[in-house]
Amino acid sequence: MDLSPILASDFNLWDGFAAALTLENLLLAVIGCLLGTLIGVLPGIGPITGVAILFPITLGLGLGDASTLILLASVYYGTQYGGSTTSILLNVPGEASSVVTTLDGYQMAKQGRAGQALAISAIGSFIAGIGAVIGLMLFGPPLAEITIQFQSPEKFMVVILAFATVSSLAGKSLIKGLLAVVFGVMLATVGTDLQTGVVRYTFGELKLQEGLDFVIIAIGLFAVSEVLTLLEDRVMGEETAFVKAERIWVSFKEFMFSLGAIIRGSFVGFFIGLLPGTGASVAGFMSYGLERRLSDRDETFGKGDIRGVAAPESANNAAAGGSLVPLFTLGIPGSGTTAVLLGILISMGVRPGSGNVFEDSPELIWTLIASMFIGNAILLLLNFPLVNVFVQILKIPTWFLMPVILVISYIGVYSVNNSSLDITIMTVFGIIGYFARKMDVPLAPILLGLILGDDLEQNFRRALVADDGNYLTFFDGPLNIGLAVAVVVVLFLPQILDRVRGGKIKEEFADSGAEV
Amino acid sequence: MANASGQTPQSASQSDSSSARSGKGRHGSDRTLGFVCLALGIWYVLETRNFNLTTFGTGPVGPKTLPTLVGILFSLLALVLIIKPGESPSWGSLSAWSQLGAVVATSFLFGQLLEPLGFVVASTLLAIVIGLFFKGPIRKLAPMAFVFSVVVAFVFNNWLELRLPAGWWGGF
Repeated sequence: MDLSPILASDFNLWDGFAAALTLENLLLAVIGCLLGTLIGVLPGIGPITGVAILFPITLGLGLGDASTLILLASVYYGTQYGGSTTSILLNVPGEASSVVTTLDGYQMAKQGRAGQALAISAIGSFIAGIGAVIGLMLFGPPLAEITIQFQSPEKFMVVILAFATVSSLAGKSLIKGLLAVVFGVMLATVGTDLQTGVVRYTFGELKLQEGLDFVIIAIGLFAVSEVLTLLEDRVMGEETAFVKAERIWVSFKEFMFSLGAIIRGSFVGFFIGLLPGTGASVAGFMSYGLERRLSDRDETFGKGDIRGVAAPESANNAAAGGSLVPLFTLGIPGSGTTAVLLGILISMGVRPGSGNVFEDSPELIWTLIASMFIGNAILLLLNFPLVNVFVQILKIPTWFLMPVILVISYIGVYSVNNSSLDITIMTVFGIIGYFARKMDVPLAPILLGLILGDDLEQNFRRALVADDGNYLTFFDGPLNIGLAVAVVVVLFLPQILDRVRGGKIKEEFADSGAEV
Repeated sequence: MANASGQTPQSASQSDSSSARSGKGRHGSDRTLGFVCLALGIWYVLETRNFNLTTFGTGPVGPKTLPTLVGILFSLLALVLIIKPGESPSWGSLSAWSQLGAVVATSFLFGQLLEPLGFVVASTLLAIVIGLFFKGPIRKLAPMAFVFSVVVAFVFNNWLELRLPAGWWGGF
């Protein structure tokens, strides 16, 4: 294995550690992990909402790009840990990715073994998280090399591939997924056309000439619509009774008993994370299924088997790390949260997929990767003593929590441009998001369409101008044909497998709560 | 992200019965969505004719090209949805709808009042109104909303480099 890109370039992993270990960045990582865990514990607000709301506020701190990324990435990691906590103690998954943890986790808690379940979940997540970051370092740089060969037609096709994966796997219906992503591209065309200065779809509103800001749309689509949905469901609100974990610990024997599940879960998770569009929830589900088939000889799974917690918890963390590989190399995000991270990277002038980020922005990327090692360690240390404290946040009544989420969303949005119009736009997208959720239209593709729409159009036009308007330019050369085949496979393989296996796969994806 | 916590077997069975009651047909929602998207797609394509093209805009590909293709694709997808719709979800009762409408109206109003009233007043009012929709007791809600707004205003104005509108209340 050639380690030179990791250790020998101008700015490498060790420099990343040096940058991430400054007092300020360490503090930000701790804050991010804390906030993320709290957000993860709360059912309802998920990682997307958390990262989207915090991003504009983070800008107000006047941090450098690397520090901002460290904070937000820590939030993302923290939500994964927090989500498992409520799965185990409450039988309520804080995040889609920990749905499957409820099966054995809550059973363990009911048997008075909540402490062991939480401990193995934290240890499994730690091992898997570290493993995934190592995987990212090994796979990322060589894969990013491919992008050097990308011209406009290839860049266009990569964006199409990103759209295809996210719309094919994000929801229950392919048509609705595609409608969502195309709608997102339509939103991206609002504003002034960069090449010609022509103003498009602004209704004569001056402020719209700069285009729609993805943060405002993200907060509207995810946070505001969430509050509206909860108002209708009122699933929360009732006093939540949760099991208290007396002592978070796991014996060496139990750890060794789970180690196989942790390692298998980490591998399954990482490789599922590599496939764009699948994400952490699918990984948890798949690894649980695998572990049950391999290890459930006494039919203890579903009745409080510690391996039934270890496997999915390792897998979903490994997948969160694995999904950063397509994100950093090709600019293809696997989930709504990584789509938001991509939007943030683009706003910092880093465009994965359009260039090799490991060479173009090594400081940012290696500092971020180093901070992931550190973040995982922080989360492990925080979780053991503080789990019972985190769970207290569930005592905050819904009638106070919802206004708080709304107010923080509003000021986050307002602070982007100091404009009341943005609050109106956010509310409109809150309504759109509410209806979309009701009708099973996935939200992540809308956001991705908006974030990558500009790229799509610029490369589309550049490619056509360079080839005198010949549309076959998008299928010229082996790379393009490979990408086109990948698009077709991604779009139709799940449907074909559905037919073959009688609708099982889509159901499994949908049931596992694959990112809305 | 959200559905995971929201979907209980109970709510699923409720939705079955209520959609049967409403009698709007099992595919009505998707068809409506399809028609709305179709209209949007057609408008989106036609709107390209109103672009003020300068001399730059001419040539084989310009600012109209992608929107036209995208609009046509969107309309075609909408047609597929109209022809092959899925099951309709359950739509809430009238009272649930009026509450949602009220929350949305409150949000719009907040956008309008934020600058004239200032953040603390607007945020306190918003938090109280939204909290009431979630059945919060006004006696606890009002002071909590006020304290929360003051704390947020203080943190934002002093610790973060974000200026919230002070309005006539002054602020920090």
